[in-house]
Amino acid sequence: MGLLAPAALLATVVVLPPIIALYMLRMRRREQRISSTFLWRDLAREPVAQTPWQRLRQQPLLWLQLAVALVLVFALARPYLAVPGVASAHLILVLDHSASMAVAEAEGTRLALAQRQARELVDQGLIGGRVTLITIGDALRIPLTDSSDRRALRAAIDALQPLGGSDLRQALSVAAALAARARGSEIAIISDGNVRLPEAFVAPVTTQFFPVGTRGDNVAITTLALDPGATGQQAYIQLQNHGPQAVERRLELWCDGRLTRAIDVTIAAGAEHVERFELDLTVATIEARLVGGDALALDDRAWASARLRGATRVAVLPGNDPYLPTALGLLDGVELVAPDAPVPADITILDGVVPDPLPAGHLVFIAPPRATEWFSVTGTLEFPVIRMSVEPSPLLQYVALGEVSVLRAMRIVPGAWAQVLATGSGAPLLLDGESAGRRIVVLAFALADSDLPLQVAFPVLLANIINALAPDAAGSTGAVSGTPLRIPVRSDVVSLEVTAPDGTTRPLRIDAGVALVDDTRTPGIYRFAAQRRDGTRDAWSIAVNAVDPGESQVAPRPTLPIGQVNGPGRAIGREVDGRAEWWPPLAALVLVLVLLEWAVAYRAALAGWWAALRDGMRAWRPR
Amino acid sequence: MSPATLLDAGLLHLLDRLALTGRRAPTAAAAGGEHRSARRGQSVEFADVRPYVPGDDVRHIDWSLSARSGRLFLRLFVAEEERDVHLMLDTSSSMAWGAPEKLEQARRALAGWGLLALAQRDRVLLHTSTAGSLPLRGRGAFPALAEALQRAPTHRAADLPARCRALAAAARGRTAVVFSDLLDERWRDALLALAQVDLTLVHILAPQEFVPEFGGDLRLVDDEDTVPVDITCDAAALLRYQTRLATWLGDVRQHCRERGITYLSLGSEHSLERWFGDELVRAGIVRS
Repeated sequence: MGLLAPAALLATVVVLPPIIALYMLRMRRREQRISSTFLWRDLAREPVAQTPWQRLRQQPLLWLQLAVALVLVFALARPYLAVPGVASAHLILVLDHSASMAVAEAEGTRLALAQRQARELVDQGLIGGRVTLITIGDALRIPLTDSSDRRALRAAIDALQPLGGSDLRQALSVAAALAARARGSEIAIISDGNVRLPEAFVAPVTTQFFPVGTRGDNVAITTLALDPGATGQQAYIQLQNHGPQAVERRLELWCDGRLTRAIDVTIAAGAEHVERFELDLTVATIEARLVGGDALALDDRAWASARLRGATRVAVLPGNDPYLPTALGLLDGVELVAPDAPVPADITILDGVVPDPLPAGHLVFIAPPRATEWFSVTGTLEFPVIRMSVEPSPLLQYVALGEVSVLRAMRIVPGAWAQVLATGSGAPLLLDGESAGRRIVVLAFALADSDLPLQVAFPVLLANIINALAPDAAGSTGAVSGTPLRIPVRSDVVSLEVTAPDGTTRPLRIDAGVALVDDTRTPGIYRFAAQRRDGTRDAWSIAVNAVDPGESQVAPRPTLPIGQVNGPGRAIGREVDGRAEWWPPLAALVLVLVLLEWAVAYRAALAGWWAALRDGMRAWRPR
Repeated sequence: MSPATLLDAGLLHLLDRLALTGRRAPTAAAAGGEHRSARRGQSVEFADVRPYVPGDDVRHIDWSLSARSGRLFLRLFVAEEERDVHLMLDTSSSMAWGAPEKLEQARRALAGWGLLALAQRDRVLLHTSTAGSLPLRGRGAFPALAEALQRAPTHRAADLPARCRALAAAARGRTAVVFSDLLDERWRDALLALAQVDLTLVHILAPQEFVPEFGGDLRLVDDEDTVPVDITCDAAALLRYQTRLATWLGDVRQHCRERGITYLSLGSEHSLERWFGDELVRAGIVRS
């Protein structure tokens, strides 16, 4: 036990002597003239003396008042007990509310346990400090910064729902920046430990991890796809048993709302299981269900939709490169159109040119000769060696650029929108991002200045780029609930509306070729209907699944492999350096003492009232 | 001092219709009074007849009965004798307290009682600290009674037992009425000193003595040079006081009952018309 404000004990010197002095001082009484003191003499408690002081006598009231004063002074000194928790001037609380936090534990959901832990840490953090709350889930949010508002912090914590994935990288970067700004900061992470961590991150301040959860048994539908074939479609279902024991579950396949197949599958511990079902071309949407319970119910259902939209219109400018049209012509669903076609292309590839004005739609820059509003060109690079980013990206799926030799590349300085996918000589060589509703891809070198077109990676990279930028880029397996859906819209579409899984339909605003569906908390099939300028209508659907595949690995981790400057070198856990003030029992004790003092002071009157009450009860009692 | 300044017209009118009753036969007196005597005497109230014997006053022969019977009979009358009524007013400073003041109520009550006595030709002896024992006789003496009452000052440290002993010496075997609040720790001594007196005690208290109208941390003082009393006058203290008061009143009543003293209570706020007209009539002290 310790005292947060030991100086308050000095108040004893100030408070106790006056109380004792009040009992030693004679009371200055008001003089009241009466007819005779004859009948009052027996009632006086003490004989009248003329000295202002009197001898201190043993009085219960004195001792009770001294006890109340002592307890209050002790409470002012703010005694506390050391408990697992935090003790800092600025607590940065990172709270994970990703989908895996929906796991049902014995004492409630994992998120409920985390919320309880967060409230305790907030209470500890507010002891002489302030709290910043960072939440990770469907998005990184910072509901409150440097706050001492306990109620607001608790409200923000209690409002969280299990959504999205667990990406701790950006949260830790923000937390580290905040910690560097405020002295005496400390970072606390509440999570089940199934998070994506930054590479080689070293926390600048004390960082603690408060793991929640115990269960690890979970079977998940990790992949559900509806792929078109020559004569039909194929439903591809991948199951993963993340638990420590083999399980047998029933797998159901629902096509367009009707149960079509149902089989029992047995999956070994830690193993994957794949099922394929041949379906008609008429099937538009499928849903897979795992019957039976496990730790996480959210990943026991998944949805997918068929690709039924028209071809993606791609234009190449200036179009004199032989590789691009050839490679594009090999891709399914791609229609090469002229740059000056009446209906603008969905994607325009600018090969070594930057026209003014830029064409509408999504843009792919190859070796841009000059700056645009999205990037600057500051020179050229000679013989850059390509280094691919470790960050996963759909553009780099099955693509190995390390073998590509580059003669010359433009030195690109991108804006904040860009994600660098590959670098060379310290400058970005491949960029991807979105700005003002447009998807932008920049390849810093010309195809003719490299051997990329001769590599296997070239058609794959081109296919990935077209798939990522195509208007139906959300694909058949769709997105994760809670994450806004960005729908690339053809330039000739005049209206677009969406029907959510709950049946509600609402129009979408098209802004710079993109429509945004911001509320995707309900997993299922989102159906879109677009009307083109020529009167034709397009309809397609996008599946929104409840769980990011990474969230299905629900087994909690007791530590996080994060280094910290002034703490354990490789992993963080839970330290016993929190403080819990225990003023509630002191307040209760003061209340009891004050009530006791009141009862002692008025004991005669209380006895009289009790006697009157007793007599009244007797009189009332029926005979 | 006219009667109207001390007694209002309503009370005077009531008192004209009332008369004191007597419980004990008066002794022989020089002047005839209105109190019946066991002896037959000269008065207007017929009592009996007896045969005439020589020496009887021939004026009292019942001629009509003698004529019918043929023998001489003498009419006998109830002997009416003068009675002494000693009235004592307690003028201790404790009486000069209360709202209305106890002493003022005592003056008026004593004046009324004295008027009744004077009206039936009793000899009234007023005992105050200044009047000593002022003898008064006849209704015409009432202004003197009223003036003596008005002049009676209050006294600090009045010695109630000593005054009662003086009264006892003057009124031994006779009727005395004491108007007092008895707020003296030697009240028993005072009453015991009047053991040989046909005593009526009019016990006067103010309403503030039943329900004190003060509270808090007080130093209680009186005008009788007693030691002040420091007290925290809270609900509990008031409860204890009222218990003490009730006990004391019970003691006084019991003392009076045991010693044949007529006890009459009178609040300083009470109506004297009701007191004389109802309570004293019910108590058999006066008759209408």
